[in-house]
Amino acid sequence: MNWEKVKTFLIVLFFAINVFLVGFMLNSVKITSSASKTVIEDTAAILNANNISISKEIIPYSIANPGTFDAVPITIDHSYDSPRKLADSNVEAQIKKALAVIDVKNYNIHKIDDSTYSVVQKSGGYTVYDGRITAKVENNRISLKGVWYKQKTKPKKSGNADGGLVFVTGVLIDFINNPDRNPSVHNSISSVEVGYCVPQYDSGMQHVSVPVVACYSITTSDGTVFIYEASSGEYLRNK
Amino acid sequence: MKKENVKTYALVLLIICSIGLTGKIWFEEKLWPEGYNFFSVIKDKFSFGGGEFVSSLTKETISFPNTVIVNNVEKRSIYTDPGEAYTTIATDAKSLIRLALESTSLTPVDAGEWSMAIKSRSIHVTYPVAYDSRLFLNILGSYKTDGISIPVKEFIISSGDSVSSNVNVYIRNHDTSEVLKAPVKWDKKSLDDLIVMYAADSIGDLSYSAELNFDKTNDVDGTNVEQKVFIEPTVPIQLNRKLTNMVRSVNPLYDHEFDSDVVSHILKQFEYNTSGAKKYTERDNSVVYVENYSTLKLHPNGLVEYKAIDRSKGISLGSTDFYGNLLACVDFVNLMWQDIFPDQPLNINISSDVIDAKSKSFTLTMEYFADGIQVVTDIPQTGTHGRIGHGVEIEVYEGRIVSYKQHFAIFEPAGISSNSVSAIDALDELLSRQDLNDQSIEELYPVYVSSQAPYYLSSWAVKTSTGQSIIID
Repeated sequence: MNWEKVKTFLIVLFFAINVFLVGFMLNSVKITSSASKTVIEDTAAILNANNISISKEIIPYSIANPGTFDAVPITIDHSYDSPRKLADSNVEAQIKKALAVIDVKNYNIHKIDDSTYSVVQKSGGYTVYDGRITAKVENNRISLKGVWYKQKTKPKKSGNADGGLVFVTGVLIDFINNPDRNPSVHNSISSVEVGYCVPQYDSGMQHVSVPVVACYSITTSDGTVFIYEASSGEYLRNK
Repeated sequence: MKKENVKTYALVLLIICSIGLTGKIWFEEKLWPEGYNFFSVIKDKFSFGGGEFVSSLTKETISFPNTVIVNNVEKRSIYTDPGEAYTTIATDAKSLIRLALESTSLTPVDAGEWSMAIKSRSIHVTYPVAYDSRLFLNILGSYKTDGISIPVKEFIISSGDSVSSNVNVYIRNHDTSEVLKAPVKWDKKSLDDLIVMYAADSIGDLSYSAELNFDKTNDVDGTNVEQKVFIEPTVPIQLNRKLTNMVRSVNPLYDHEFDSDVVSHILKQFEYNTSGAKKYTERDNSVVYVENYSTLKLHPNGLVEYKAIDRSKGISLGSTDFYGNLLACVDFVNLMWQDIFPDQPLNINISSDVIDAKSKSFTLTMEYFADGIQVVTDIPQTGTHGRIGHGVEIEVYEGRIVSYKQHFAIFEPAGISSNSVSAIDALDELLSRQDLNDQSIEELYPVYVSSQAPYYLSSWAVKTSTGQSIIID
């Protein structure tokens, strides 16, 4: 038996198998939804015709499904005394230290005013719209209050029966008739993004674990964020 | 040589990578949704008829009675499912009842003739619930649609007198107690032989209420008898203690955590997206799955509750008439059990009367049975669910299931026998503890009642004239 030829054949075979497996892995969670240029342009036109100003450039052509994961909701109510005098130059750094003390990671910090900062949760690069801590700075004390969602499981394929998400153009069309939209105020969309949210379910009991699901956020120029569940297109709430 | 070594190392590396990548895909849930078990799917694909699924709840088995009592004057025996004798007697009884309900020669008779029939050579047939007779004919396999429409539950098949070649079937109206008699053409000799063969015990062990004068509250034969309660004359009363087996229940849904395979099957049965359903875990470890129009709650005690938030979006039963919807409910229960526990028989039967045959909205209840004896489901209210009093409870609204509750439990012999209390002693116990307030007793039947969990002991239950069920434990 010519072992050399057998080895060569097996090397080629296993190489091909590995390429297939890597491709499968990369594709299995992040299912991508996409729409044609025409659909995007038509959607923008329809919104504009309904007195909602939007630029077609902010409507994403292709959206990767971020998946769904389970999380433990944690109520944050913590005070941190900074060892240094707080000033504009070091506040954010001290807030980060305060957050590290309570094991909060993966976030963005936004300044609201001189004494108030908003800590927004991130997961896998996506914003978790319901994970938010308000940091109030007074003298050298930082007070942290809010809700955080500690991830319990890895994101897994989610969505409708086909495994994908409802495409964002459908959600934008639904936005025209959103019951919470004030036509004189919410008439200009500044951004459309994919993120995570926690659908509310009131069982009368405190949940030990909740689902964190993919959502679309439509932000109007006044800063109001309208949240839609991405698997069904259902409107959840605004912030 | 060096080139050969490089090739060898490359091949080994590629093989290890393949195994690693395959393992990563399989075990990090990237290949299958929660609850998927690769090995159980393979087992399902390659199992060649490992065991036929047996359910006691099908269209066919609904047509079988709860009890048959074979009377032969001084001899009497009671039979319940399972058992060869039961099946033999019940099969003939069903055919006779069908012919009687199809008959155009139904004549009303008085209660005295009903009592006489039961004391003679006869078969006394009782169903667990009352059915509309027209619907019941359908259940028995008849195509007749214009028969009488009365609630029926109890029948007597009497071989009648020696002059007529017909067998008499007596049909009792469950609401009014009026009795109709139907003469039926049948092989009278075979019926007589059946009765002689299967009426084996002494009537001293099993007496009817009338034979013990429990159906009378006035003075009897000149003696001053104070009767605390009136018991319908044809209620059988077991006089002696019997050796019965204890049973124990197994919770197939939860054992320190939910069985993911079982949960996955339940989600699919209720048309939930197993990968997309939103899942909430409560403090008591119960889990709630939420879809757009319904919720599905799984409790650690084995209770599963489905509720349609929007009643127009419940699970469609696919039928436009009551009977179709009733059978669809039966199929739903069966299919779910068969899907989850293909090797476990489902011993369950309907426990709510099936009378309003025109309605598209109704509530259907079912109870578990073990060894032919009803198991009482009585789960107290908790912070996450209300009291559960039935094995299965289905609410149907306009042809859709809008509420479904089932306490998942598997009952198996506990390997312990004990002498059960006799029916007489049980009645005494009941009457010493509570005043029935002029209610009469319409039924007296054996049940299994939860003792110290997970064990169930045999006991007795009564159903009163107001429809109240009282467990005597």
